[in-house]
Amino acid sequence: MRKTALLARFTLIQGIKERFFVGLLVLLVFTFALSQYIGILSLANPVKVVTDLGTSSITFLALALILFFAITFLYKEREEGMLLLILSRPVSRVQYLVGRFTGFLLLLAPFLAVSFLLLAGLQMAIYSRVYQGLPWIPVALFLKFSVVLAFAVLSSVFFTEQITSLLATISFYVVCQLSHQATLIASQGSNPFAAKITLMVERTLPSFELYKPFKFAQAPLEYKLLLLFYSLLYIVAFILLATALLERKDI
Amino acid sequence: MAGKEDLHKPLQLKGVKKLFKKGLKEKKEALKGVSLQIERGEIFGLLGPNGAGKSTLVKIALGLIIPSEGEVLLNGHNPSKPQAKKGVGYLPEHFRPPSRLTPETFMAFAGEMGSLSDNPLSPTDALTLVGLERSAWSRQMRRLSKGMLQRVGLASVLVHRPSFIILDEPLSGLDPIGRHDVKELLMQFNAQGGTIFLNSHILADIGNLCHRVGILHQGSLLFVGKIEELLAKTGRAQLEEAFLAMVKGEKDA
Ligand SMILES: Nc1ncnc2c1ncn2[C@@H]1O[C@H](COP(=O)(O)OP(=O)(O)O)[C@@H](O)[C@H]1O
Ligand SMILES: [Mg+2]
Repeated sequence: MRKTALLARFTLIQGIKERFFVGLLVLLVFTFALSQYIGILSLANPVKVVTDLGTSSITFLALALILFFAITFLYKEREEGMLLLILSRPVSRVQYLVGRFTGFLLLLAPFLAVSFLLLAGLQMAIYSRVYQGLPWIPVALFLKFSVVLAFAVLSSVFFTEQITSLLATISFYVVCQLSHQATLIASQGSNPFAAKITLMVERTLPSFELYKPFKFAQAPLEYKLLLLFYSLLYIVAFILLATALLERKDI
Repeated sequence: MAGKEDLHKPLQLKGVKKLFKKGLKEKKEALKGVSLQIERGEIFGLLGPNGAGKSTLVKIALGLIIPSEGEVLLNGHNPSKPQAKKGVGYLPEHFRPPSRLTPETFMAFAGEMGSLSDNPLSPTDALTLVGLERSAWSRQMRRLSKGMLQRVGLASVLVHRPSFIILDEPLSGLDPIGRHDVKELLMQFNAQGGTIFLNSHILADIGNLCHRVGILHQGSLLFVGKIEELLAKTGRAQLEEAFLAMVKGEKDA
């Protein structure tokens, strides 16, 4: 436990020192400004539109954060001998993976918090009110990206090449994001085999349809808790699988 | 430091083989049955050209790679057991500490990572011990020279006051002054009773440092013993010539 916490803490420290986080926040402010502008143009429900656009930007940037930071981090650590150094100490491979994974979460959480505080601040300043479901949106994103992060850890242990792991994680994200719609489309088509396959994919992999921020924000607490549980199941499965792979690996 | 581990040899390898799978069919036998014992208090140098299997051997000793065959005892235990690593320090080949951390921060991490000894050094004492100049302590490591980084690496190993250190090519990539300083440090560690196992493909470094050497070539240990014995066996006056004779002899055979 102490080793895991130590690894998590130093993942966070190393992450904060990376310059691109500052870059990401600057980019975020820029996209927010742009979405405010579009929000002003839309007459119907500007606060909702602005929240929507802001959420999309944050989603995109959080994904970038996960991919570029977490995956690069793990490969760099392998190349530079840090992984060997850590595992030569009395640290088990589960402790290593859980520690680093927790560190990535510790980095993701304040990033989402700061982004949404910025968004809320802007809405207050311009419309003197905040979209009512706003506080729940970062929670939905956090759950979803925790699952993506766990997958990124798994694929980084599995693939020798960093680029392969990046592509695999992006593919995972896209498949999980689209699996529900694919099932819907296929079920209306004339090919029962395709319909079966898409349904199977949707049921086996986490379906990101369930994490839709606005749906999540309005859902009852039971739904939220259930989704937390659903996410945890995938996270534990991915990390356990990653550990089993790393145990067998010659590093 | 007196404890049960003193009863055991620091490292024992018996008939260790390692077969790497490369692709679907191709296999590479990196170690072809290596047996070796390290004695407490000695400096042992494992010599061999690039690709001989030195790093593989060291990683097997530490439980980082699982051997295909053979037996490994680190401090008398299976190296995958935590108690095997008690009092053992390891510096990987081409080690680079995290580039955005300062030596001070990194040492705090390294110190807590393996706090095995009852009285570990303080991070600053460890940095002083390896002779890293004070002005570098709070600079990000991406701004430090290779020699400085190697010192930080050594400090992260010595901070636990290990009794046995395993160093993979500790002198490669250092300038003459850096080599001299690191050698000095290793001799000092040894003079206080520490055991050292080091890998090298640079013979000049080993000559006046190691009590015993081993010559590894294409996964086989061709010789183990004192340097004088190697010279006598090959009938050469220089370590380098003796080494070449050994390695070439194997090729002709
Ligand atoms: N993880 C690995 N997978 C496949 N082959 C490997 C692996 N590690 C080392 N090898 C091969 O084993 C041989 C010995 O490598 P190594 O132990 O690094 O040699 P040295 O340290 O003496 O230069 C080399 O041919 C290398 O290509
Ligand atoms: Mg090597």
